[in-house]
Parts: sequence; C-alpha cells; structure tokens
Amino acid sequence: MSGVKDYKEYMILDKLRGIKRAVLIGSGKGGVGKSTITALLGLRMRNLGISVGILDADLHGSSIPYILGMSSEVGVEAVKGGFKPLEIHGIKVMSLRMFVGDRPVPLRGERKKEVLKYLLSMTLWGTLDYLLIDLPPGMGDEQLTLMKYLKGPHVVVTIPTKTSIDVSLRYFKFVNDLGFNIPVIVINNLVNSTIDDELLTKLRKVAPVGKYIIIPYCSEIEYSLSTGTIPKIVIEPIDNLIDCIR
Amino acid sequence: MHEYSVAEGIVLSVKSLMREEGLSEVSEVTVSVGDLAQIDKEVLLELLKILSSEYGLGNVKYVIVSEETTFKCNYCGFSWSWSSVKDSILKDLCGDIVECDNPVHFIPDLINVFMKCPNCGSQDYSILTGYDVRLVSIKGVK
Ligand SMILES: Nc1ncnc2c1ncn2[C@@H]1O[C@H](COP(=O)(O)OP(=O)(O)OP(=O)(O)O)[C@@H](O)[C@H]1O
Ligand SMILES: [Mg+2]
Ligand SMILES: [Zn+2]
Repeated sequence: MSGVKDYKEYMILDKLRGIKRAVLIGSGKGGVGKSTITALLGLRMRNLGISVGILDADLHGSSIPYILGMSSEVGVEAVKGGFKPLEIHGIKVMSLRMFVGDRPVPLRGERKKEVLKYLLSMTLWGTLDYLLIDLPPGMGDEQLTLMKYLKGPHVVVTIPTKTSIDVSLRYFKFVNDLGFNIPVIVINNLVNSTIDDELLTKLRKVAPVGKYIIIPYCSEIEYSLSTGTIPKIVIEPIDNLIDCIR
Repeated sequence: MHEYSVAEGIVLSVKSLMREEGLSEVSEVTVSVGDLAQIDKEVLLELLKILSSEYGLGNVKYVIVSEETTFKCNYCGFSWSWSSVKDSILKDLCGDIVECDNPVHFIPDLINVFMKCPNCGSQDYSILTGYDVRLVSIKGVK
C-alpha cells in the first residue's frame, strides 16, 4: 500500500476516548459572547464537581486563556505522548495562545485545518465529563474540521439584535443540516436592551429548539471571569444551560 | 519528547492501516520527514522500533526519508528553503542555533507565525515540499 497518510487522523480518536461529552459553542456572528459563555460554563461545571476542559478553537482570535486571566507568557508543555493542557481555575485548557503568545496568526484554510488536527491529536485531556469547544465566528475551516471529529450537541449563541439573529439563524441551519443536535439557543443580552416579542417570535419560527436561554447583561463579567468567579446574576441561566446539554 | 508522540502516531496508523488493508504482517514502513519539523531521526527510529513491539507489530523495518522543506511566497512568488533561513529563525525561537522544543517543532504549520518571506516580508506563503512527517508507504503480506 502506498500513498500519503496523515498519521494525526489515527491519533485523534485515541486522544478523545476519555471524553464523555463534547459540546460546541458557536454562532455565525462575531463578538456575541461565545467565549464568555464557554468560560462561564467551564467555571460553573467545575464548581459543580464536573470535570471539564476547554478547547479554544479560535486560532486567529484566541481569547479563552485571556478571559480566564492567564498571562500570555505561559507556554505549552510537551510531555510523553503529546501536549499537556493548562490548568486554569481547575479547567483544562488547550489554546494556540500557548504556542504563539501575543503574535498574530496569519494562516490559510488548509493549514488551519492541520493546526486543529494537531491540537486534537496531541492534547492529553485524560478523562473528562465535558470538553467545551469555543468556536470562532463563521462557518468555515474551523467549524467544518471540528464538526468532523466532535459529534456532540451544539449551543448556538446570538445577541438580541436583528442583525445578529439574522446571521445566527443561518448558522443554526448550517449546523442543523449537518445533523447536529442543537438543544438550546442562548440569547446573550450584552447590548443590555429589552428583548421584544417580535425578535423572539422570529427566532422561534426559524429555530425551533427545545429551549431559549437569556443571559442578562452584566457589567462586571470580564473582571469576574478573570478571577475565576461567576457573577451571581448569571448562575441560574448557566445552570439551565447545563441542564440543556446534559 | 515530541518524537515520542510522532512515533506513537505512526505506529497507531500502521496498526489501523493493517486492519483497513487486511494485512496480516507488515515488513517495511517508509516515513518522510520534512526538515522544518526538526525531528531527531535517530530518536524517531529508535522509538518506532520500541513502540512497534509494544503495540504488537513485530519486526517492522522503518525507512526514514529526509525531505528538504521549501516555501513559495503567495505575494511575490519568491521561493526559498528552510535550511537557508533556519539558523536565524531558530535563534529567535531558541536563543541559539541549537534546535530546541519550539512551536514549529510541535506544529510545523505555525511557521507562518514566526517567519516572513525573505524577499517581501509577507507571512502568506505555502509549503511546497517537505511538509511535516508523513507516512509514505507500507509493505506487508495479506
Ligand atoms: N452578558 C454579558 N454582559 C456584559 N458583557 C458581556 C456579556 N457577554 C459578553 N460580554 C462582553 O462582550 C465582549 C465579547 O464577548 P466574547 O469575546 O465572549 O464574544 P465572542 O462571541 O466569543 O467573540 P468572537 O466572535 O470574537 O470570538 C467581551 O468583552 C465580553 O466581556
Ligand atoms: Mg470568542
Ligand atoms: Zn514574498
């Protein structure tokens, strides 16, 4: 037999074996709070005694380590068999930031796919109840690559504006058509507006999922997450979110 | 350390490919190693042998072929080789010209983060040859 084979392909399943459930957090739209919600989920799960890891799949705009208050100086540690995830506030984190620090990451699609395959095939997650995947905005290389290997439920995030809902609904269709389970849509109220019925009706019509969860506006969210704590007003909605993805 | 992961990946792949191709025995495996990956080939070979017996593959002959990594700029069209710039890039990454554990050794695709086109300074270039470690061929009996 001859022909080039990518050895990483064969390692991925092996490395994901110890993960009970992978949850992808996405949205077609940028800046709607995907990473914030991923971090909230991670911290809350940790508080509830659930073992949890976060794969920061945003190669160009990596933000999970920063959100969780990690210094950009921390580098990756390669040990026997692969890369050791960082432990931040009791959450195992793998991010490209551990490889490149503050440098920009100019990469074309094909190469991004390979970088993600590296992270999947080399990260030593061990056993985890949940692996949360913080996706970048868009419906491109990162989403398509990760959705090939990680078949768990998908959380779609939007903010309560017409523009965001418009893009998020296309994203919903994209994920839904690929056969993924979307148990919940998160409406993250980071614009601090009243959420009117017209918006909700539009959302419910196009995206008929089990649940819609509203995360309230919270001015101290950034500071709070960087110290590993969850603002009180978001605990209940995050617990509801955890119930949806169980 | 990274060589261990690569060797493990190759051995796992050979095992899976044996199953896929219905081979009862594997006699020879050829692996190509692009120099950008900075893999210690002697260490890799040694680990391949050890892991092959650990994974029950028996006595496999591993052939490691070195490939020169070359790049072509997507902006100005300039071509160059890793060996022509390696010393200066590694000096930035490792502090001296001795190869060290560095991000490009772990993930060769990340070279674009750390190297610019020597002609125009662009970070948008492709890898033409010598991309990473690849399993080229497996010889065995059905
Ligand atoms: N509920 C909230 N209340 C107040 N601020 C919020 C809330 N959710 C998120 N933010 C803030 O909004 C900004 C964008 O959030 P975040 O980075 O999580 O979005 P994102 O969707 O991950 O962005 P990207 O598409 O770039 O990955 C951040 O500064 C974050 O602190
Ligand atoms: Mg984000
Ligand atoms: Zn150039």
